[in-house]
Amino acid sequence: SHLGGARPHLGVEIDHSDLFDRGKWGGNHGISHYAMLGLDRHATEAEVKRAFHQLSRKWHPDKNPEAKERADAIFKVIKEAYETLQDPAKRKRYDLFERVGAL
Amino acid sequence: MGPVVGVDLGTTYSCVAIFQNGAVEIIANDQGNRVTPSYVAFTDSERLVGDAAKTQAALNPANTIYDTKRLIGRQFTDPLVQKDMKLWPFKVVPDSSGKPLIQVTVDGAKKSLTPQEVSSMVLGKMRDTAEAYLGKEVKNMVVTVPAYFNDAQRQATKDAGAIAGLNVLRILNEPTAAAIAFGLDRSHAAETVLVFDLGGGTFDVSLLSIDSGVFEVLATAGDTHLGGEDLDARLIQHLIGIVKKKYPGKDPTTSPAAVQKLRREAERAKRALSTKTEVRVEIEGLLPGVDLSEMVTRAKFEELCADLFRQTLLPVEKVLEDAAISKSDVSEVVLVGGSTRIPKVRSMLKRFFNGKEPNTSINPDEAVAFGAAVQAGVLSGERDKKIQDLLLLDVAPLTLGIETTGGVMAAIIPRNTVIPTSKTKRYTTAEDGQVAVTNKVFEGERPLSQDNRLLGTFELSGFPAMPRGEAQIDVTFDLDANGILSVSAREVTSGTEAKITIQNADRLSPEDVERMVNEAASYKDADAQALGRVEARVRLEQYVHACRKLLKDVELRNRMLEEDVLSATSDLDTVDAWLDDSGDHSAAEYDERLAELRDNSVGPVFERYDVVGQLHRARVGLLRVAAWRTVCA
Repeated sequence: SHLGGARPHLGVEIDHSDLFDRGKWGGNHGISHYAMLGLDRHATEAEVKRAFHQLSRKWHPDKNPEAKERADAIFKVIKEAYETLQDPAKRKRYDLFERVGAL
Repeated sequence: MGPVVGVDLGTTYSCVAIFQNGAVEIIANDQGNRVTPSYVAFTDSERLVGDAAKTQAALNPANTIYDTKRLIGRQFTDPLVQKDMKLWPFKVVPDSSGKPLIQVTVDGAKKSLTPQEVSSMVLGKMRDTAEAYLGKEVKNMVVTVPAYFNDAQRQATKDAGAIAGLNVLRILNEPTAAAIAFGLDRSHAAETVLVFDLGGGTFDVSLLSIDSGVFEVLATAGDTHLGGEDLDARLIQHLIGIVKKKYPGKDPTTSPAAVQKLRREAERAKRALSTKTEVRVEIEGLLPGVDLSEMVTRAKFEELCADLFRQTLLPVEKVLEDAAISKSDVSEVVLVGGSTRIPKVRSMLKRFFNGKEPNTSINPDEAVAFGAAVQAGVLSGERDKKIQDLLLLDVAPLTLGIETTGGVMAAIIPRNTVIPTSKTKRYTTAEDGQVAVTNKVFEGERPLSQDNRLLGTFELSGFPAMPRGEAQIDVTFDLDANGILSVSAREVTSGTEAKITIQNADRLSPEDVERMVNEAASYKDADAQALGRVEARVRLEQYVHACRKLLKDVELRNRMLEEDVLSATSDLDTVDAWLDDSGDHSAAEYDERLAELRDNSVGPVFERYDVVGQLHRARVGLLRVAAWRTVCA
C-alpha cells in the first residue's frame, strides 16, 4: 500500500477539545499545523493523510451528533492543518514561514 | 428520529433504500419494482406518480412530467433548458423572475408547478414506498444529487424535500454514495478509486481514497447535463430524419404523442444495443398513415453519439489532474449509472486506463441509493459495527468567491476543498467615508466573474465612516456538509457586527415553501380519494372476476339450474358493461354496485349452492394483487 503501513510520528500531544473550550481557536491559536495533527516535521505525506483520517473519525461533525457545533469548529481547524501539509507547495511555504517566524 | 432512508432522486428513475439490522435493503415499490420512474402525471381525476405515470405517458403527453432534474435550480433562459424543451411534450414557461414553471391542465384549468414541487411528489412517492415496507412513518431522508450540482440545484433539491414535508438530513453526492456501496464490504488496504457515474441525465466523475472506512473525495468533476437521455435524443433525431425522408411532408415533432412513442422506442433500442449488435425499431401508426420500421446497428448508434462518448473522458482527465494522481495509481474504475452498460463506454474507459478492466461489481441502478442508505444509517446514529468506523469526507465541486475590482473573481473556497469548511478573507474599503460595501458572490472556475454563475449579492452596511483602506471587513464563507453556502461579514476595527443579507434569485422563500407544503397536503387528500376510488373499483372487479371463475367450475355448473347460470351471467355482464364505459365513479358508487351483486343478485344464487366459502377464497387470492395495478393496466 502507498501508505507504507507506518504509524504517524507523535509530536506534541494536543487536546483539541480543551483548546476549543478555552476559546483558543481562531487565527492565533499558536499551535503549529504539525502539532495540530500530532505529527513531527518529518512526517511523510502518507502519515499526514492517516493522521487526518484518524482525527476526522473522532472530530467530524457527523461523528458527534450530540455536540455538532463544537465538533464542527474543531474539525475545521484540523482540516486546515491537513490542507496545508498535504500539498507539497503549501507545506514548503509553511515550513519556510515557520522557520522565519521562529528566528 | 425514526427511520432514515436513503433516496437516489434520479433524472429518469429513483430508488429508495434503508440500512437496518446491519444490512442495506433496496425497497421495492407497490408494483414490485426496485426503481421507480421519476414521472408525475395529471389526469382529469387524479395525480399519478411513478410507474403509473410513465405507463400512460404516450396517452397523456402534455400532462405527464419528467426530467425535472434537468430544470431544478436553473433559469428558463438557460440554453440547456431551451434545448430540452424542444423534446418535452409538456409545456414550460418562465415565471416573473425568470425561473421555469411546468404547465399542466388539471380539471380543465391550467396549473403551474415549480420543478421543486414536481420533485417533491417523486420524493413523497419514495417516502410512501418506504413507509409501506417499514410500517412506520418516515420523516427523514438522505437525498443524493450529482456531485457537480451547484448551490442553487442543491438548495432546490432540499426545498423539494421540505415541500413533501420531509427533513432532508443530508444532500449527498451520487458518486460518493456509489463509492460507499463499492467499498463498504471491501476489507482492502488503502486504495484510490475512480467512480464513473453516467446516469439518465447527469454525469459525474469522482476520485476517492478509501482507507479503513474513511472515504475521502480527492477531486470531482462532471457535467450536470449529460446522460442516457442525451443518447436517446440522438437516436430520436436520427429516427425523425428517417421518417421525414420516407414520408415527405410528415413531421413527428408536431405530435407530442409521436415524440413520446419515439422516446420510448429509442430508449428500448438503446438498451437492446448494449447486448445485441443490431435492433429493429418498429412503431405502427406513429402518425396517421405513418409506420416506422428501421434497423439500427450498434455501430450506427455509436456513430450518432461519438462526441458525447468522447466528452465523458474530459472529467476523468480533470479529476486526475486536480488530485495530481496518475492513471496507474487508480486501483479500480467503478462503473455506476445505467448508461455504463453501453459497451462503447466500457471499451473507451478500458483504453484510457491502459487496458485496466472497469469494475462492474456494484449494481449500477441501485448503488447510489445503497450508499445513501448507509450514510442515513451513520447520521441516524445506528449502532452497527459495519458503519461505526465509516466516515465520508466530501468536497466542494466548484470554486466559490467574490467579485473584486475590475470584475475579477477572487476565490475564497477553491474547488475540491473538503467540506464542511469555513474560510475568511479580509477586505477593506475603496473610498473615503464609505459606510457600506456591496459584494457579489460567484461560483465557477473562470477568472472573470462575468463568466461564472452569480449566487447572490450581499450588502454590509452600518459601520462608521473611515478613510479609505482603514475599514477591515472580514467576509466568511461557510460551506456545510451538504455543500450549501452561507456568507457572513463583519467590520473588525469598529467591532460592528453589521447586518448582511444574501439575495439568491434561485431560492424559494420560506413563504413559498409553506404555500407549496400546503398544496402538497391537499394533493395528499386528493390522492387518498383517488386511491379509495381505485380500491373500490378493484374490489368490484375482483368480485365479478371471482364469480366468473366460480361459474366455470365444472362440478358447480353441473349442479346449477340453467336459469340461475343465465341470470348470474347476465348480472355480471351488466356490471362489466357499466365498468367498461363508465368514466370515473365515486368509491361509494362502486361499493353500492358490489353490495347489490353480493346481497341481491349473484350472491344469493351462490348461497343456494353453498359455494360462498369458495367464492370468498377466490376473492382473497385476487385481492392480493395491489390496487394500483389496475391503474397501470
